[in-house]
Amino acid sequence: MFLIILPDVAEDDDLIVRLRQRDKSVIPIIYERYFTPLYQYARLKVGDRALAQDIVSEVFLTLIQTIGKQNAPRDNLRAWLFTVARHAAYRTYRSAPQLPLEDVEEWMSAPAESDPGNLLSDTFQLERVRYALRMLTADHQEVLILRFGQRLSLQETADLMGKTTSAIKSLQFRAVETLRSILIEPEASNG
Amino acid sequence: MAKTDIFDAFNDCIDRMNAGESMDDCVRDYPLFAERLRQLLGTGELVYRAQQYPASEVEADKQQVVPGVSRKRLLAPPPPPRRPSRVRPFIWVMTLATSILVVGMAMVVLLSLNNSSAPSVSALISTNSIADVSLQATQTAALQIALAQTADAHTSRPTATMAPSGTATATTTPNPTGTPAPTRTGEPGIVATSVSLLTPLPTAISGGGVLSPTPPGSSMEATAVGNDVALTATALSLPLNPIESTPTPAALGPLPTGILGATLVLPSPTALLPTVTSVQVLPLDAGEIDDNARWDTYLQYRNNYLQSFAYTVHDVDVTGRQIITVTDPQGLPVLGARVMVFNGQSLLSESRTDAEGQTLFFPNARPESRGLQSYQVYVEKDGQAVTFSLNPSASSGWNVVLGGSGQQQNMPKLDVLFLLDATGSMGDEIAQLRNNILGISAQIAQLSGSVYVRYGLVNYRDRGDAYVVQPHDFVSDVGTFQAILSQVQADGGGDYPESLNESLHDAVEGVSWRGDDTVKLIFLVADAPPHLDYPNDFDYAQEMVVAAQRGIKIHPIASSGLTPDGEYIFRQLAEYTLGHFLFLTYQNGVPGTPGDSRPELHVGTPSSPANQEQGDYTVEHLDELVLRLITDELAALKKPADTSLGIFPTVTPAAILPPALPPTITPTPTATSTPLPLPTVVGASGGVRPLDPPVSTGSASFSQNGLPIPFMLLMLILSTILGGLVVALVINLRRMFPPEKRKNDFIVEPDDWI
Repeated sequence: MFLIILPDVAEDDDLIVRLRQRDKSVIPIIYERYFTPLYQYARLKVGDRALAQDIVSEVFLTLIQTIGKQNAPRDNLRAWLFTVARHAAYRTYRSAPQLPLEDVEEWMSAPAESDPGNLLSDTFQLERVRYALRMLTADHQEVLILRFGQRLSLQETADLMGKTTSAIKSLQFRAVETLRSILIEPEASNG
Repeated sequence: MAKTDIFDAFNDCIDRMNAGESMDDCVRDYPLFAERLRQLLGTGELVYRAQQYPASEVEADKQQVVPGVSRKRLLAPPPPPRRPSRVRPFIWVMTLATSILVVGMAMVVLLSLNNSSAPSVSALISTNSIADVSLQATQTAALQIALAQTADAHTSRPTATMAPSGTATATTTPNPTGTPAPTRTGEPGIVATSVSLLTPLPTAISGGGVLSPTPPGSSMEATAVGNDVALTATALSLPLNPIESTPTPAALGPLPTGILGATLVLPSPTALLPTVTSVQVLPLDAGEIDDNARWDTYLQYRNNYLQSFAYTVHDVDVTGRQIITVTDPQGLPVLGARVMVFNGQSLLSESRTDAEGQTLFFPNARPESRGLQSYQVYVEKDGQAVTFSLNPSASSGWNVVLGGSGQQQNMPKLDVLFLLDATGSMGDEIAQLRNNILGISAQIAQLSGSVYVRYGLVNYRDRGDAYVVQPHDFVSDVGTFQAILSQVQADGGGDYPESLNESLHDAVEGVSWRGDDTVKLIFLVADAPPHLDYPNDFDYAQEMVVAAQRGIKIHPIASSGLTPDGEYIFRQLAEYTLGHFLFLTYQNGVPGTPGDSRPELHVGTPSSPANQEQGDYTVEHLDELVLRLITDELAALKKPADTSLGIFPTVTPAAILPPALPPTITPTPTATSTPLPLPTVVGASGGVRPLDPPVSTGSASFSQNGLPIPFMLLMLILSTILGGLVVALVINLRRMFPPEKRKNDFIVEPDDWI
């Protein structure tokens, strides 16, 4: 495993300028720089490798097609790319078969003594986390992937999702709580 | 506040960890929340690690995407350029003529709308079709005056107004001099001798005129006083718009001239324009389930929830539910019958029947009522009362016939209240929901000819926000309601739960619901459960008991993002009050696009009429669904009640009992928590509700242009021609000179990528 550090937004300004100047040599640079984060985002969202490839290719195809046009990236290349990926993921998600919820039940229960903090190196448990992520609502999933997965800032996440920062704060909190409740076997109730 | 701090702390730690700091470094700065933060941040770290797919896979896919992009690019050739075309003269003429016609029609429509509320000075005061009622001395009633319009070639601006309602305080005293003056009060009916319209007049009618009177035997005189028009009527009887009507016609004969006087101040004409706002409703789809109708499924859901989730709710044991249906001797449902269940002398439960004559009793809801072999049930309405013995082991449904008639003698009454979460998390949907509610209210207003409708609104946020609850009491004018609703904006919140406990209390107990002959509905629109950790707070589980006592039905509408505890609580509210659980549905469960699914809720699958698949719920447009629920409720009043699932016990006539203080219920929190102090439940009693508060009136003012008609006609013609010319020019210029298509020479060959 390796850590991905997203390119600094300031470094992208140069790329945007070159895009506006229709310098086609900038495309491979953007591809090298952003393929992996976009791929990780897409694959975590849709869970399917082929669909993730489709989504990422859609993003770069759109980038090429919008060069020199009104809807080309203007100031924040990273936000633009993730926005396109987000829309592409929704379109792909709508046409993709839904995961049957019954299949999830075998993933639901964890040993009572397990704690999410101890699951780090277990591939099986990571798959469990990915599956649990897809059980969340689209907004919950989105905010977790953007804030924790892609390490986007609060403002960037709010802009991408079209919400206020206060809404994102509450959304990320409840998303984590919900994910945690799915991953941990609940205690017996007193009711 | 403490709650806000943990969310800020959590957010701060996310940002710091994203910047490279360790979890320990950040948590150390928030010792109060250290443990909680570790749990949450640890879970967040899992998400980060979950996206770390094997490097070999990532690299392999990276190589595969490149030719894929190029292939798609090459498969989509650019469209051929358009050639500029010559526009034939015939096309020019037709375009011009059509444009002039369209623009002219638009201007005519605009102008006629402007003048639509403009009766002339020769206004008629006519009666409406509602029966006359007695005006009590202490009563302020809504007075309805319809001013008919007559054509008046000399005026072009409104000189009087169409009044859906105004406020009248009739004070009349004898005055032998014949001049109008405030006089005695409390006369049956109302006799107006002067009506002051605080509106400016066009000069054309200054000096007054004679109005045609109606009904016969009365007279009306108009005089201009400065900018006011005073309409003086003699011996004219005007009917009232009854809120609580007792059809007692008050026929008045001709009165001596000038003896009686009253002043009616009509609202401003701008407030009297058509009150039903035309609203473009963007459709929201919604599903609906009735947990009382699918009881076993609901019990299973309830059991699963209590076993599976650690979220705190205030559970009430609804197992062993008993359905009591009250009908009249003709089999029609009795609305608002009081049903009290006793164990000996101890009152266990009190509730009121709905439009289908039904109410519920939950024997296991209270420790003192559990496990009894029988209960004594007392049923009462309009001076008729019976008792019977309810044995849970014999049946779960009981049909009671009450003497008298359940048939509504007058028009049915409907109080519908929208309880709206106005926090920031609703921001993405509140505009749509608000528009839907506006559209719903407009459609409900269509029923106003056959039902007395009142609209209420309670919007709420959370402690620490600009407000916690904003209650708006019932109004009968849908335009007023729509104006209030249009001002609601989403903001605040911050944490997830909101102050639903307090707002529900205000909705159930803080507004003036009408009496037992009223269908009472609350539509709760929210995306979050209530705070259950606030000190000195109300309790939704108590409020739903009060709602049932008062015959108020709660229909929650779950917006996107509702968590399992929110769903459970909403369904509690619905089930306990015989309401339905509604939920917005989306395409594949993704908010934003209406569809038929909501996978995170435990509501089953949608039916698919196209595929003839029977699911657990059907999906409709939200406004149609809400309207259907309302109309079904009203229609049930006139249909024989369903007594097929119950038995007819032996009933005994009983004496009328005075209203008693109903008992409280102690709900059971499902997780360990400090018990909250429960408020005393105030007994609900029937009786006549107060009338609507007077509609506030302001001084009427509207502009007058005073321009002569010929000049206006000339302006109309010129502007129509000009507008048509402009439109025709734009259309045909685009044909003649299409925008130049720039060649996109930015084509990347596959081998340029690598």
